[in-house]
Amino acid sequence: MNTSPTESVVLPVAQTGRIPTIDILRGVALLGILLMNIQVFGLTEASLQQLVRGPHGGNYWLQTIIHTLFENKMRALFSMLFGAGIILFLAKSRNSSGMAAPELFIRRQMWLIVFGLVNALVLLWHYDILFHYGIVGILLFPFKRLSAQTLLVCAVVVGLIYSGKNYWNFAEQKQKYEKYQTVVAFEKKHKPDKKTKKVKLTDDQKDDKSAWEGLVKGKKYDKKADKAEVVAMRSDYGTVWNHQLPRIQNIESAFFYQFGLWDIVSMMLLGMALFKWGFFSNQLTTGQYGLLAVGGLLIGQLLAWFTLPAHELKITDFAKFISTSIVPLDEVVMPFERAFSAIGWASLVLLLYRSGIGGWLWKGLGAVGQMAFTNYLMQSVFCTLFFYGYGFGYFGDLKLYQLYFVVAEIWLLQLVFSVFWLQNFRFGPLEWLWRSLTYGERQPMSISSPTAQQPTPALF
Amino acid sequence: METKSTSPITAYESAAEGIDTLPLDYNPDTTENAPKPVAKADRIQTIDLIRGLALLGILMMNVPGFGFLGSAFRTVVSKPGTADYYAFTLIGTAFEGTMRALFSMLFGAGMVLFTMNKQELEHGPTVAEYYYRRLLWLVLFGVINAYVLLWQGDILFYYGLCGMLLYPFRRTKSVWLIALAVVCMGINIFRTELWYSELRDNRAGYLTAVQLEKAKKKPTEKQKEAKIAWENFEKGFKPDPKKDAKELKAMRGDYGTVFTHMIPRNSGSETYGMYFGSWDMLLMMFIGIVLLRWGFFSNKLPTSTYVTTLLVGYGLGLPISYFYAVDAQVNWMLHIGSTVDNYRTVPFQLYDIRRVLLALGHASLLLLIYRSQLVPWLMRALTAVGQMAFTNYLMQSIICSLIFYGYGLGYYGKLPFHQLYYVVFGVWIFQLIISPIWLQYFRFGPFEWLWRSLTYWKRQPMIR
Repeated sequence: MNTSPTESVVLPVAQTGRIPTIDILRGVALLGILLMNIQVFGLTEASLQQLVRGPHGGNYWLQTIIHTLFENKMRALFSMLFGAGIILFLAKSRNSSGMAAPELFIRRQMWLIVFGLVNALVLLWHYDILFHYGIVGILLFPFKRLSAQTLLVCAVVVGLIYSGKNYWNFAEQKQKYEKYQTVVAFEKKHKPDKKTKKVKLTDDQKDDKSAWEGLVKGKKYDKKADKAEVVAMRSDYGTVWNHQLPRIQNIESAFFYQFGLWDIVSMMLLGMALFKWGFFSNQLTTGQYGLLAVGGLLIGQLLAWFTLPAHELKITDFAKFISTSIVPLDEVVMPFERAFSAIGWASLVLLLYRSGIGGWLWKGLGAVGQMAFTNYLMQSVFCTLFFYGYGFGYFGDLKLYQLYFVVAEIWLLQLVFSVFWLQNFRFGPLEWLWRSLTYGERQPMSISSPTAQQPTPALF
Repeated sequence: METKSTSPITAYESAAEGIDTLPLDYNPDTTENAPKPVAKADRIQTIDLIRGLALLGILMMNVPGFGFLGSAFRTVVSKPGTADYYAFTLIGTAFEGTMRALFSMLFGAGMVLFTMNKQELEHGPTVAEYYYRRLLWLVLFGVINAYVLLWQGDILFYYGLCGMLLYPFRRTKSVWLIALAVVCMGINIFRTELWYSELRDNRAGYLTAVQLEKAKKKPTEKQKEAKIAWENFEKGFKPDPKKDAKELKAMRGDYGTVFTHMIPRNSGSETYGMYFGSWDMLLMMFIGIVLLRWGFFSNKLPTSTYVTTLLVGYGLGLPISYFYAVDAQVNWMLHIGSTVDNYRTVPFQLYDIRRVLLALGHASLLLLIYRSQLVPWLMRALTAVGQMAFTNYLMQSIICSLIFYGYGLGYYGKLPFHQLYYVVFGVWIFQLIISPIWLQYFRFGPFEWLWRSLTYWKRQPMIR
């Protein structure tokens, strides 16, 4: 067996130098992420919220079930695996190009940032994560040395910070509400001015009143804005680009700083810890995986269903949500609830894998996971071309359940394509590109060509 | 953290010669040769000297941020002939942006030096890890500088993050680094042009809309939008006494008030500022690495080179600067409408070029004075300030916030513009005196010690 010395001590490594279960889990996460992303590719945020506000038909239930079972969990799993991948990557020593692993790692991350910018600014997928993953990877690089326990503690601390920031955001909004209430009470007590028919307010009071009213208005359904959004997204490339640009900039800067960073860092740290415990490499006992599957999904789903009313109230009646809640329950619980469910799903997958059922499925998922980078960008290309105006223009046109036909097709396509591609080549096309840029030299591509290096080390 | 008794540093060659030289009794596995801070004798003196100049110089540009109401600049530039006006012109022409440019250049050079003078060990953290640890701690210090010390102009945060991008470039050929610096400048110019042309469109739309309305005709939707956009933009240039009063009240409040007031400003600059503005710093860092390699900072070039740089830097830089600082900026502040009409491309595009020219001019002047041995006592003091630059930078935040903000002496908005510079001189004298004295007794400044101990995760020896 062709294994590199550092890896064989720790892990069961396959012929190709990769860990099969990590690829399988990554495949699951990648396909799973599409379940949530398709909603943003294909419909406006406003119309998605309308499903919650309107009569609760089939589409509402579909959305709710996907929200509780999968939303944020698949992304969490993806982030965890990325964190695990960091440790794997840095475990290598110098390779033939003479650069040490840390240097290669930083280069790899910087190219990932570039790809992320292309995904956002050229393919126009505004929720691109590659940019953020690239940056967070650089920040977390010195953490790889910590023990699994320390990493877990750090992950929990960052999760608490994330919850805390959500709470702070809520508290600011609640403060606005309370100031508004003071002004309203003031108005009730005083007589209106004869001329303007309104009570005379100071500038500060006027500010307080309009701040709250503006906030509430922004949360209500705006039919005109919704229609304008659909029109914009169905236009030519230039219009869509201009329309998406402020959104992309906000997500890559302010949103990342306030929420995205904590979201991703907590899950990557958790992933690093789990990797060090052998969770991802199928090294725990069946009993442990069973416990994690049942426990993780049970706790995670219970928390998800428990916080669902808060999540829905925020959409249906924002003012009531702010005035009656002490904490934004769904937001504060989310960092933990999704971690439980994600671990639960991963354990479940690993149990099924161990049982040996459905061998072809694991091969397919493993292939998808091994080419995750290509497949992720492929999803961007397919979906933007399917929905946006400069492609087929189906944006805002399909009903929610119909979106999942598109998902099924893309899944099928990616499973088949990945398996066939990897039978003939070492890496996916974009993996090859990324790897070549990182190492600064063209990588051997065909599966039969000999290589001077060790067996294809995990890049991702 | 473990405390380790001091052992003599074993690399004897002066840093100006072989930075990578190993001592005779080199043993790779002892912790004596583990990556560690550089001893005083091995530091490049002139780098510390220039850094001292940059550090003191930066305060000239920072002090208005600490103590002067932003909207009061309009008053300053509308009264030519006053002390305020002269101060503004002098700072704007000769110094604005140049000190930060020098600081960034030296930061880039310093980070590369950090990677060069350390040995890679067989086991234990790689030099790369130390490098990134150092920067992560720097980012944390930056966050503290902004959110705790409440200095809205903190740069440590940005330097930390930009520094993280430098690592793979540390061995890149100088020609490519210069190309990268030019690319960064290009990106800046391109984005500013985009912004400016949109502004001109809005202005044109506004003028057309106003004309049409005068003629009782209806402007189009687009023209109406442009008009609103322009009017919003122009509003920022008109005096707003209510806003000013709010600002003064907030800054002269207690710590809690100032803290809350600063949060949106800090988070805005740490997000949008970083996202849009870091090209500025990166390009200077690249240039700094190149200049280090050419021996510019380590005083290795012939006198004639420094004289030429001085002449070219000032000769080209000062006129551009005068045009930019006085002409364009004054017009921008006082007559925004006609300025936008008259300037096809925004005059501030010259910002980065002008900064590089003047920064090199300042550095050359300083090195020539150093070589001439005219004022050795001043050179020594400046070198000490530069060696403790991190401490001195944070000290400036502490001193100035305590002088100006409400929870200190509360001088915010009370001093006329030129009097701010009395404060600056005071701080300069204080730092020029304190730094050499401190370094007589201790190896590093207090914050330098803290930063190094955190980076190496080991308590560093402190007493000299």
